[in-house]
Amino acid sequence: MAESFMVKLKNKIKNFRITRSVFAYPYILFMLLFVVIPLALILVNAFLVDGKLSFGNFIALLRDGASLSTLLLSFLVGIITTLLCLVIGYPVAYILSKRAWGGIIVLLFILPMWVNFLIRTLATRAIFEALNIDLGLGTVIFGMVYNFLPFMILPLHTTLTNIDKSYLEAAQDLGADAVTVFIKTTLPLSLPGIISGVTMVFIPTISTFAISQLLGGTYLFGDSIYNKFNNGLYGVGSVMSLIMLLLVIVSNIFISKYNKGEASKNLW
Amino acid sequence: MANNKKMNNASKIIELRKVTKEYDGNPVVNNISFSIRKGEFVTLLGPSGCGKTTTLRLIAGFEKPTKGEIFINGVNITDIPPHERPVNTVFQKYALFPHLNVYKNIAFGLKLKRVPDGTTYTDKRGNVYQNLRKLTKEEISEKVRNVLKIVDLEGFEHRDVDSLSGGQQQRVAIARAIVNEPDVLLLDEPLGALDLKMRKDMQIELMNMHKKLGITFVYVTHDQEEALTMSDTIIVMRGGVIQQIGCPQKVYDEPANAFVADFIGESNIFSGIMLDDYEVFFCEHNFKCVDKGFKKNEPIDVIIRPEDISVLKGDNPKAMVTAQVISSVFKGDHYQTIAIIDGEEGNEILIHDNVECLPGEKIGLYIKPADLHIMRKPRLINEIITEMWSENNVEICGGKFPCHCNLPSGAKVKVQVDFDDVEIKDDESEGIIGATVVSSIYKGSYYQIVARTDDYYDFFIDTDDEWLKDDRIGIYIKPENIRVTEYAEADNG
Repeated sequence: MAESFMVKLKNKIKNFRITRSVFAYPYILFMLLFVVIPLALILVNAFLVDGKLSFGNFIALLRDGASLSTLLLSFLVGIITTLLCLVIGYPVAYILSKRAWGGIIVLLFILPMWVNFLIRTLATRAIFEALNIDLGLGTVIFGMVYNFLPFMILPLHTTLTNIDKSYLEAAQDLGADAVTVFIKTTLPLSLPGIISGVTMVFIPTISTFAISQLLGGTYLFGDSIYNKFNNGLYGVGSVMSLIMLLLVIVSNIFISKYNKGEASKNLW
Repeated sequence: MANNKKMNNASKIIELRKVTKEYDGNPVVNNISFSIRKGEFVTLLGPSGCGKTTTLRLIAGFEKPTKGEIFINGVNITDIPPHERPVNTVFQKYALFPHLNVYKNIAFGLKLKRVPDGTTYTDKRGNVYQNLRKLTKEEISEKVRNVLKIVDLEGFEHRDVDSLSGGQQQRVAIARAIVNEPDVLLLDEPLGALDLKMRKDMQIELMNMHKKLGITFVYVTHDQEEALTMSDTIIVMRGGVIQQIGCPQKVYDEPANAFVADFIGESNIFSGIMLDDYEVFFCEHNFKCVDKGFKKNEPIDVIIRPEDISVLKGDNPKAMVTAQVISSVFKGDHYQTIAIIDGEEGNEILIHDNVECLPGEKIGLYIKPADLHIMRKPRLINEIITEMWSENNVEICGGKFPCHCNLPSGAKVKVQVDFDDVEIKDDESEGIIGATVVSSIYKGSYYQIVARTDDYYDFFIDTDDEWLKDDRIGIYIKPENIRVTEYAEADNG
């Protein structure tokens, strides 16, 4: 066996040629080391208690009222943040998609994203403190909306600018006034943008850490995962990470189901 | 056609009065006026960029005229938004809503429609209004089913529009428009995306539908054959201006100018001179004709359809001119022969006759006097009212042209340049000003092109080379060929 393997390896080395697939090897190696193996470790850790296979970590999490209420609070903050982003972002994206210079304004919205989010959040906190505003859930949500609004506007703007104007004209032609045109054509046709915007805001919001700590001293789900690992509770931390992972997978399925065709072509 | 004349103004369903549409100051539709009678099938015909689609969009209400007024059923609708106009449109690429199925696409307009419910109410001032109601589900579903029968798509109600073929999508688009029973149906090149066979079938179906429904059709196309086949009236457009309005026979047999003749069907176009009533000179020969009322020696264009020319073999005394055959190709029902008329100019002539000719053969040609279509030239010389740039330089369309004229800067002048004195430069930067070729017409021995400068002045240019529409060219004029005279009329005004 070993001999034949060595022969095969020798042949491989002898016949080694630089083909296109060779350029993918570094990337594959990177993915293996930093994505696949950590994921596997999390999976193993989640089912391991004192070196034995067990569901103990899951039970521990279910009994841990504090963690569960953090999860609930995270969901709540996530939903409020997402709704606020949608309510603020949609009109902005809509108006900008109607204007030739809209693209430049959208760029201005994205510009702050090149500043590290920790610096941004610390600056926000400094402003709140200077204005004598008490830090709490409200300030946390403000920080979240401020941080994630571009992720809502971008996909919406892309979808809205790509809607063929002739659909709107056809609706007008068939007797729809401006409001009806919006409700019956623009809104349903921008659904893919809404869905990717919502997912791109909701998932990061519930998993973010630091923002909530800095702006409100409250702990959200991301923060408690961080704490669990910090305190050496790898098992429970892994279970919580798995829950996050599950949410990401579910939302991705959701996106691809609604983004038939065109919208899935662009990144947002 | 005789019936149409009897109809009075009351049956005018659409009327455009001096309508102009400008984009950034550039006129796309320029001062057009026409009216359409109820039940008519009218085609707006012209090459791309001639303003035909813009005209349709003006009627639909998607564009607002810069100047002028539009009437439907005698009501001024210039400022009425599209959703309140009694017209429906079949769009070029159908514009079927991708998020709705066939049934919902067709029912879109019906769901928004309000009809009187038979009751009335009186407001405080005593005005009586009819109460309106929505259509019921049953009414909508019946109308949709009927219209699907008309377009031959029964059983397609629940299909996704993306799953339909081009022809089927086309039918859904038509159904979606006609189900609302509009006064006017606007069709914007609806057959453009279909293959030839499908086009022919749909042409006939559309004509049948027009007959059956009695709705007025306004149809936009660049396909002259489609226009000739389907329409009651053709409106030929070029450069935002109407060239001719008439029934297909008239537009084909009596084109209003060289452009219409060239655009619709094949034709020979020659420059000539009207010697006297019933006597015309072109291709270095005198001909008898049936036209009169021109000035003596007035320059004119002569148009001859290739099928109106007869080939005479041997030394036939009936021959009006002799020519030498260049080529002769069998086309099924005729031979397409190209010959050079004997003489110094070497005018080329296209003939459709059922006589086979051999290349190099000498033939005689006969044309009936009634088949010589004579028309006034739209312009004899390029004439521009402008100002001196400086001494010995004149401004033409924003360019500084050297000339032999010592009037001071700013003086109002009239500039005249002959068609064959305008020089075309292939490289736009080699000319003094740039221009875009709008049309190019072969006139037997040379091409007459119309080049539109960026200032929207149309230069007529005679040239030996063929230029394609939309080519960018440079315009240069030799100083000695620019005739500048002081323009006095401005002082009077």
